[in-house]
Amino acid sequence: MTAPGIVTISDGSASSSPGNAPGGDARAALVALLARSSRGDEAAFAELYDLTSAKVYGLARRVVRDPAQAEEVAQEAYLEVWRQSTRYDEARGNPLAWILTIVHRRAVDRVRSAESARERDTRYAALGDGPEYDEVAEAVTATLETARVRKALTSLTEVQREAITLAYYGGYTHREVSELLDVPLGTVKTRMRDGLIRLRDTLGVEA
Amino acid sequence: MTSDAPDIHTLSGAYALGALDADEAAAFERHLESCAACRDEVRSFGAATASLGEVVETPAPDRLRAAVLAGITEIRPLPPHVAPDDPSTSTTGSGEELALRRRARDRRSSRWLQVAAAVLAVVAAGALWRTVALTQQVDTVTATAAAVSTVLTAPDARAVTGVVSSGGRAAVVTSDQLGRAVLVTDGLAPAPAGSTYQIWYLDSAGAATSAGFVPAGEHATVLLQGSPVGAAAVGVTLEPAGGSAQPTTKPVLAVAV
Repeated sequence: MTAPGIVTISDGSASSSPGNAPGGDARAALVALLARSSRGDEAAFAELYDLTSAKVYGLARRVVRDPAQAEEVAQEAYLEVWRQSTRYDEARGNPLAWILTIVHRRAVDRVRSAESARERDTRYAALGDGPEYDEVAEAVTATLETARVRKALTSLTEVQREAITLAYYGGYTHREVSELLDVPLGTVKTRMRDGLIRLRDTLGVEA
Repeated sequence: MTSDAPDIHTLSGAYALGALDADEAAAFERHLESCAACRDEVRSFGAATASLGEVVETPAPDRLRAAVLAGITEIRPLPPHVAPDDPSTSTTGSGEELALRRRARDRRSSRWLQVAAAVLAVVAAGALWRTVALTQQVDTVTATAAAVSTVLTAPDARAVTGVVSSGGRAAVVTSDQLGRAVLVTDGLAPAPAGSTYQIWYLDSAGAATSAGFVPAGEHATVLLQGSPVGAAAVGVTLEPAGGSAQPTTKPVLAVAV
């Protein structure tokens, strides 16, 4: 059911701790709801919305910051999920990951779009001296999954962690990250890659 | 431009995080077509990046639920992918086979019409969510699709369409405001062995500037390199693999933009 080389998180947590929510049951439920949605079942999509909206809106909000724009991004993403529901392929990963990939792409698109260009300077300025990681840590809730991800993030070096969080949560390009961290571009590229490899392996092993 | 830099493999992390700009993402996607190791690596990062997304939760406002559930009533979910007919595998010509091929061809042209209709709907309505209709046609990976929707939803986006003389159709959508253009192809005949479709901006004096390449495949959506501002037309020529500095063959497509 999972292609070789793909690390799935929910598989593991289902087998190790069935009492904690984000396991196989949630995954199976989302898979079934997506299948029903692909046949035009609006009630199924409403259930899917209820199961995922805090994560979808949370991610949109985290990346674009502005609540009104985050709402638009989340809405666009949901309409895309509905439309593309047939194209979700269980073999390629867990359904929540698939949904969040759509949300993230649209959120990043939004912060980089022309309308947002003028706000970029503000975003730079607003960064201040607190690393983004702290904000992420504050925003997370104390579930098993988030604890695992937080722990995995702490296993990274500081540059790896900052590069990854600025790119993923901040929507910054690797060039911008290089400038923000005052680290050469080549270093940023390798830190992002090394950091993701470590994150992938840590999450996979602990699952 | 086409020869990959030696360290292009190290871009897999930045790509998976969505941290490449549109040009870099397009270049990396071209690299992915020929590099199985990078493809596997990018796939393997999927769960890690998604788990970064999973840990940020904020209760959504109630009106979002209402807007989403109202919105889906107006959108038809896509049909499933079905195994494509391949007319080239058959050389005999019984009546039944010919009918099958014709149906396959009709399906291809209606698919094209869907693409074109989607592009025009976007241009006309400017409704952001309609880009989904186009982006689903785009089997390229995420970052390009995002950049592409930005072009398609630009307030000043314009679309022109044309027939590719070697087979297939194409549409070019330009936004002067963003200084970007997108080429969409449908039913494009494969480039002969050892050659590639190269895209050009042509100015009114006929001078050509390379704008990138059309990736292999019947359907493609390409964010052109460079800006359409000042260009009079967009052309496509067949060039030796690796591309040319200037067009060396007669264009298979030329549309005024």
